[in-house]
Amino acid sequence: MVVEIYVKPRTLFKVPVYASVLRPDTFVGKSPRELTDVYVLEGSKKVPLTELFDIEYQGSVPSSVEEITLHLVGDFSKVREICRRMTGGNVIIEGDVGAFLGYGMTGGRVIVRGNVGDWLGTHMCGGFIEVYGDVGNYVGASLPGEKPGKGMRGGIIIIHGSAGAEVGRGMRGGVVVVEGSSDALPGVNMRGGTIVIEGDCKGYPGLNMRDGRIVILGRVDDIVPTFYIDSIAEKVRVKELGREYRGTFLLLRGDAMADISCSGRLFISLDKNSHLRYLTELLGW
Amino acid sequence: MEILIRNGVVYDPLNGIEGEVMDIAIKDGKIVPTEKVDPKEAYVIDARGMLVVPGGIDLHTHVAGPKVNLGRVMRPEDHRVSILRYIPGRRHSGSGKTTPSTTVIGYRYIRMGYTMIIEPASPPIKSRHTHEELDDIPYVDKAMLPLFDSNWFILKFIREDARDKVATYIAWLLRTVKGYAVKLVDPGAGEAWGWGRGIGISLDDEIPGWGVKPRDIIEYTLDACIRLGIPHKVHIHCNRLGFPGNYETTLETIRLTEKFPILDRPIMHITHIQFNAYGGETWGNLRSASEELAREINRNPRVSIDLGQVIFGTQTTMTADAPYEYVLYHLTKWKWSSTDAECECAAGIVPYKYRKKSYVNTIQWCIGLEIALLVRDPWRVVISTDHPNGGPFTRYPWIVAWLMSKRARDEVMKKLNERGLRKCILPSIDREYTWTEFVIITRAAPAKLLGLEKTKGHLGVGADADVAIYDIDPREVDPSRDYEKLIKALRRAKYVIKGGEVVVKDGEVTRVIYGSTYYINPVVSPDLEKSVKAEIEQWFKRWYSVSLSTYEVRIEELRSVKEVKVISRV
Ligand SMILES: [Zn+2]
Repeated sequence: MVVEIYVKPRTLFKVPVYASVLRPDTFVGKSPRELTDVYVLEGSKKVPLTELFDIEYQGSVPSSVEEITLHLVGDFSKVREICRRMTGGNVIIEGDVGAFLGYGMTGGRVIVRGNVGDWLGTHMCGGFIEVYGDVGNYVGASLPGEKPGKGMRGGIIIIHGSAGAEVGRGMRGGVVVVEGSSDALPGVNMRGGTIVIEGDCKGYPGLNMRDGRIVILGRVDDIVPTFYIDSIAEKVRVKELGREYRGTFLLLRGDAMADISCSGRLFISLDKNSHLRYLTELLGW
Repeated sequence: MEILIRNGVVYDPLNGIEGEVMDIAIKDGKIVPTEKVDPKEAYVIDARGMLVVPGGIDLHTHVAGPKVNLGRVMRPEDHRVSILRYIPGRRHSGSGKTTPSTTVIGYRYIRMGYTMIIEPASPPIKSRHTHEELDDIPYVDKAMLPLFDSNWFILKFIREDARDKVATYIAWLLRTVKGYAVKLVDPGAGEAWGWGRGIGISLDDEIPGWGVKPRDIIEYTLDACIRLGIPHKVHIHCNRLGFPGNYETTLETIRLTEKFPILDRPIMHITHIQFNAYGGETWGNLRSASEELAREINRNPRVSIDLGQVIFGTQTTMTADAPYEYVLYHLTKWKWSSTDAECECAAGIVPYKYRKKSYVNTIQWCIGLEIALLVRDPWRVVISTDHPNGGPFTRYPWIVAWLMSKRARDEVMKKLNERGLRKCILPSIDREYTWTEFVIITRAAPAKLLGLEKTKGHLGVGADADVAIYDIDPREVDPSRDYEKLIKALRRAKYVIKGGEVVVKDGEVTRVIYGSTYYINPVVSPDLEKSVKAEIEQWFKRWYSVSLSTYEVRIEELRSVKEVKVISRV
């Protein structure tokens, strides 16, 4: 049995709204009338969820998250922490969303037909997020001040648009694919997992990375000097997605600054980065 | 405002009162005889069955200054876990567990019944910043101790063997930056660190470029402080802090005092002694050396201590002992900051996690308590966690419980590293602090050590009206058994009165007031001061990046100042 739940903002929010309750888990076993004791923060004020949003059920009261498809329709660009620690079910967002979407989520699917703010999938452990628009900084990241490797641990994030800086900061597992371009420093403090940037990258991928891999199909402005050239690769497989990228890739290892074993791997397209061709000369040594 | 505290169970060791049921009257910010207050007019607090004690004094807590602020910047994750919300008209918002923001420091101290705090390490050149932050901390009285351990003037005057100049310079600097006493951190290490050396330098290692030894720095400044008549003489963080086997250096430092006379109060305060009480040769065979140290302290009345008790969890170590932080960074491999204050000192910051199952951390936890329990004279012991190095000051109630209850200690020891416990004597110590001893080590002793026992740390007539009232009846509650009740009562005082105003009620702040900054003004011979100042001026032009006129912190820059004048023999 499928339950479709539609959530629409009643007004245009002027201050940030913290609505971590907007996730399928909240609605399990709750009829629309029982939602009155669910609260969100509007600025610093605690207000009932139903006061800020129109909520409409199509179907009966759901008994598990897997039955739920949550539709968020409208402008959610000021609403933060949507789907925080979500464990399952489907969420479809028709519009823009604010920061911290899918913070620490462990399962389920989120599809966004719009743009997303910063901190998408921070501390994510599992599940699937697909964004059709652009995304802000720190996708699948760790929070400020945390130890390297405290970012995304598992799950898949696919972004059809482009992303901001520090994609996969402190990432430990899972996959992030950016089909557009990204700003600087993807995979900073990375300890595992895979980042694919199909477009261009502003530079310095994998700074202080110890493990994991970063694939860049477009142009990279510059790489950090603490990576060394390992070999030339002809293809990169991302088995979680069943995708395979073919071409000529420079395989670099590092970051020597983070760890002497240099287990982090950068795959950088040679065709798009003629300014890095000089690195191939070092391969003869 | 007139206040009458009725029928409380009063502990006031400075006046020899031990658990008497009596009334305390307050008028114009002072404690007055009860007949001076009219019960009909006064604000009456019914303290029946409650513990009434003087406000607490924290002798060693890093709460203000550039290094504390850098710690805040370095640890955003520490601020996310602890947030205080804004309550209109009563308090600001703030955050931070081990590195709280200024207002939060004030709220948390006053809620625990503490009314005076001492910031124990400030580079003289950064004093303005330290005072600005102290001024921003509400409720409590405060003072700060400037660092003299690697100061070029001190090193220069010692090299010239000019004892008068050392004393005059100390007097001038304390007055200029509004400091309260001399602080020495790992003497000489900061200067040696400027040359990439100074890791674990001992009393007899020469400081590069100066031909002066750490031993000389301690000896000359101690001599100067005694001649200046400063009440709280050197406040010292001993050499080789944090290294296995360092207890021998601590013993040698204590023995340095033997050539000086026994005065009315200790002349050397060894701070966070726990970090300086390690036996063994390596981290692998570390052992507690608290017995050796306690024996020496019991023998030598010139020395007082505070504990530097370790609390399990992630803390932020910050110290002017920059080379040691370099060592610690290589153990933790997370974050590290290292700074140099021109011509004066250095500092380092590293977050560190104390683990219950760790061999080393278990021994550290035991040492602090062992020393407190083995030193027989409570008047020379003060509670501290060296906030935030060993743990946040908010954990003091637990330390009190561990000292007052063997059962509370045993409860913690069940979860500790067993190999570590075998290197400690804590499991075999039965002593439990009494109520009076608890009040001494948190109130009366620090007041006495600071030389403020006339106005602080007691409840006699004429004392400042700083009173803490806890909802616990010492006649009924046996802290040895009911230590949970003790912790609960001490965490949030029922009432706190600061400067004659009720500022805490039922464990929550009621309104904001601000305390005063204490500083010391030793008066020395004008001729000597003139000649030393001329020398200072010359060096300032040559070596400092600021001019002498901007170096001085003027009284009008501070919110409220209390001068302590001492007439010296220099
Ligand atoms: Zn300290």
